Amino acid sequence: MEEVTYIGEHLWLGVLGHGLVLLAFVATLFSAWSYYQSRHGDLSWKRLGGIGYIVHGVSVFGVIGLVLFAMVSKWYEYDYVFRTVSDNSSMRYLLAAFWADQEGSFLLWMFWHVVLGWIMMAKGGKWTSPTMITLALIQAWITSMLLGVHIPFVEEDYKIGSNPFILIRDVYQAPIFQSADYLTMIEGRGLNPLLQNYWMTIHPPVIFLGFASTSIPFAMAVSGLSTGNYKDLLRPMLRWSLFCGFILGLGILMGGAWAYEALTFGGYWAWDPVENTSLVPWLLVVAGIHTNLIAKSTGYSIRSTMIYYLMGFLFVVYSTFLTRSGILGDTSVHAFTTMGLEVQLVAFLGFFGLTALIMFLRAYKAIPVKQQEEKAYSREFWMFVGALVLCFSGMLMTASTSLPVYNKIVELFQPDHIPIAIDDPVSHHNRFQIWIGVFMGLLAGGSILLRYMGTNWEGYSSRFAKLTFVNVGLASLLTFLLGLTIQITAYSQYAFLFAGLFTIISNTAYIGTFVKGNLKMVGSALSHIGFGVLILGIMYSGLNQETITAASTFDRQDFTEGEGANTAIVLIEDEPWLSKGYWMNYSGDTLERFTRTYDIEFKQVDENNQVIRQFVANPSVLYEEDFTKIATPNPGNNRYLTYDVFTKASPPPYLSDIEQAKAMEDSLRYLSHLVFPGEVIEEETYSYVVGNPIFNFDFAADRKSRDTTKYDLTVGIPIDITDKRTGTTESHVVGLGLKEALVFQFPVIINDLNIKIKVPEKSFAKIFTEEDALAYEDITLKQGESLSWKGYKLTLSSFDRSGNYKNYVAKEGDIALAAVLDITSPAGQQSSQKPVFILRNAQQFSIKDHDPQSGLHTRFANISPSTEEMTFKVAIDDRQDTELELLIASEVPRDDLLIVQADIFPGINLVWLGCLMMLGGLLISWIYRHKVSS
Amino acid sequence: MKKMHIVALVMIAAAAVMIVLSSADLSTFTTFAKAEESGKRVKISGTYSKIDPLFYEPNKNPNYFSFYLIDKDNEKRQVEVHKPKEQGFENSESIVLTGKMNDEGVFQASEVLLKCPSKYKEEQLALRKEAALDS
Repeated sequence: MEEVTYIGEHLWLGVLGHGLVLLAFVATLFSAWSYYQSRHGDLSWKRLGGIGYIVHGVSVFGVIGLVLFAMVSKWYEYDYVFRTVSDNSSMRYLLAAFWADQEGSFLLWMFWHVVLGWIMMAKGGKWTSPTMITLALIQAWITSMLLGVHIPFVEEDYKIGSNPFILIRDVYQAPIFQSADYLTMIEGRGLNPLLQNYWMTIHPPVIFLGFASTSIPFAMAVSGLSTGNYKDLLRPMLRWSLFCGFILGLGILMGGAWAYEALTFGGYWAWDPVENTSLVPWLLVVAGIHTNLIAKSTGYSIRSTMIYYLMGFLFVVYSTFLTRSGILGDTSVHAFTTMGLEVQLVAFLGFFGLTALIMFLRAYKAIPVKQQEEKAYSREFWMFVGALVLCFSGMLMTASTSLPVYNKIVELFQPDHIPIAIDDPVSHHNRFQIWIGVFMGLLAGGSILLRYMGTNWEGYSSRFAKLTFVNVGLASLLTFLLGLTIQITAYSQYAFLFAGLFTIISNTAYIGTFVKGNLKMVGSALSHIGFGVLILGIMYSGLNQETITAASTFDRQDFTEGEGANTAIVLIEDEPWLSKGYWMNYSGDTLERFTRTYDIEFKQVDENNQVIRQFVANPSVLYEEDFTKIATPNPGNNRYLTYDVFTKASPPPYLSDIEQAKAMEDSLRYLSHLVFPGEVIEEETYSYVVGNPIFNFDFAADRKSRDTTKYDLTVGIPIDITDKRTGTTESHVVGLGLKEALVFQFPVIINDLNIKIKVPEKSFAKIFTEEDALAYEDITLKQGESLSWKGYKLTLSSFDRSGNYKNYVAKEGDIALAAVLDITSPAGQQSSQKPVFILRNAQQFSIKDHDPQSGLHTRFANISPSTEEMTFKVAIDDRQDTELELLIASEVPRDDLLIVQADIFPGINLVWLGCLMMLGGLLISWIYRHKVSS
Repeated sequence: MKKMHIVALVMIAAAAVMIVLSSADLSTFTTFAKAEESGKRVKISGTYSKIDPLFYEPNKNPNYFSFYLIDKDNEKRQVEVHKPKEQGFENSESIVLTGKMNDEGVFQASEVLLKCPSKYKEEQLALRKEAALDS
């Protein structure tokens, strides 16, 4: 292909950006190396390491800045900009678009590593050097994902990393790139409408800060293994892990809240691989926090603390591998697609996995352990078991989530392997994790009242027994009582409920009895209570959830499988429907930008049809930016203290997709009717009275919000439809509009009769006679005079000075006058016209008038003040076929239908409250320990 | 034996039990032909056939729709779903169904997972275009 000199590209940015990526990579390697040299306390090496990491950080910020700049500037020559931004993109979603794709989210991850590294450099003290070695190496691996360089002697199209500044013409092979000005012809795709959401702006930074913060405990654990100094490490490690547990937990919670709000997954948690693999690191870090506390207080569990922190980060990398390599394929709705980095991601995981394993095994014997076994009545024993259960839970989740990896590996050896998958992940995970939850609840409730080392057990045992007895009794009673309000389906759910209540009661008792305002101790109890509250929330929202739009009128006998059936109903505009004690009415909709919002009124009634409560739900649908189809429905969410109502609405397919709409239109059978205004079309069941055309008819007002665009010219034809069986008559207006030389139809659908009427575009010329086709002749008249012209009798009967004239829009300074011309046709038909004369800015204008009965066109051409003679231009429209064509179809689907599904989630606020308490406990502990240390 | 060892043993035993129990939760990715043969609940991934009719008449029954899916062996079968049709169904890149074959050779899907084209590598470059649904 010959070289093309492209117009309008900004290549400097890509060159600079790619340079900065390379610099960031080299700088972080240099930093790691320098910090390694400084491990024995060499300050100059340490300073070099710091400089290296600062240079790295500045480069990363530069790369981010350049990507954002290219996105703001909409420089589509860059593939990343092309993928994430479009002409219509709102800057509100700039950040969301930035981290929506792989390269951007890697940059976000790196951004946080830079920030955390800088904090470490400032505050790390003697742990700075050993920790920064690992952190800088982690950064090197992530930066390598963005390198985009060929390696010599390897396959030609294999590249290390994917450069965020790659040009679009290097990605696609398309004929368009033979044009030098291809940039004027392309437009970016923009952010997936599903992601145009404020959650997409706030959720990723938090979750990635959470991911990034697992690196610090990991790097510290590695430092411990290499230095052998575990004792001093426990304190800073705990602080970082508490922070990590809080932020990562918050990120996961936000993900759950997003899933819940969008409700495309049917709730806050769907056991999707992406959700699971972000929860596992959190469970491991929380397990690590527990053993870290044990180690700090008693000296037990240092080994397991190291293991959990090492695993925490490694499972973040594993999660990255699963979600970004495309290996999840058909099992996840989170559609990160392949970027060609599979090998690199495996190497990333392998490098740190093996390094950690080898270092751990080598240091294993040197890690201090206590010879004496933990006592069964000591807190640390049960905390250790609890941590083990957390880890166990994570491993169980990982095993099920890793089936695609298993399939891939087996396929390597056995190409005909049939991939296996979990049939129903939700019930699968729930079935096992409910027991984990039971154990965790019991452990969190029981162990909190025990003392470290079982101190003074003899003196304390009877009090412990009494407290536990009371707690168990209270929890049992409440389990029984609350069990009556929950639709429990299995005995395991009673155990789950009991465990939740037990941990709430026991930890509350702990705060009441022992804490006495000691912040250090309140954090853990608060988190444990939060866990119990979460259990209650899970049970109420999960088991008492109810779909209130359950249709009952349809014959369900043909259903072989009942699953999923009966969840949605169809509402007709302004026809209320009663279901499960709720009256629902679809009362209208409004369109704003790309979103159409529906109003659905709900009224809950009792047996006597008395309204108990009422609310309006506002589900909406978001159109694609070209309005060809609906991109996504957004549920309406009515939140109350004790329950939420979710309402999802979507129009039928023929109203939500332009192709479907065309297919539906094509399937209609129209009958053509030729009529003159004033005539009547008679059909078997209906008669149609066709009225005179109304020019400049306001269809936007007539069709409510259905069409808000402005037209240059419109014509409406009023039609009165009478149903001969009932004698009822409805009036409608059908018509045409002209916009920039294109004719648009304004059909009318009479939903109750399933009739659609439209005027074909070609009728436009028959309604509007082209001026060129008319041969005007001048006539002059004084007021009250009559004259005869070509068989017509024309009388200037009076003037209309009101200023309200047809087709006339007043402007300041106008002098406007309408003449009233009475016309009698040769056949004796009477009609009247009002041509208008306008003097505007010393120029003369006229607005013609026309009536189809007489076929005359008149213009008010001039006024002679001296003689009081008015000059008119008159022409006969002598075309033979001035009749209109109307197309009428029957059996037309309604256009005022809405498919609605509404669900009630009781007690969902307990879920949020529980999670927030868990996180609040972590936050309090972190703040407390942070204060103590500084 | 130490108490920790007992705890560890209990957990290993629990894990073993769970793995055994989990095998009942597994289903295989397969094709229509094999699904018909086995009659079991399976997962089938494939593509929506655009040339065949998609039946969804919400005004008659909003909780039923049917379409044709082409599986990995290029076999095309009718699929019935007893749920409201999701938005964007026709534009999904690939579809994963969970369900089983009935006696008439129609696949009864209880779960429909859409893989939406979040990235359109295969598609043509988007040129500036104009269209409107509401005219």
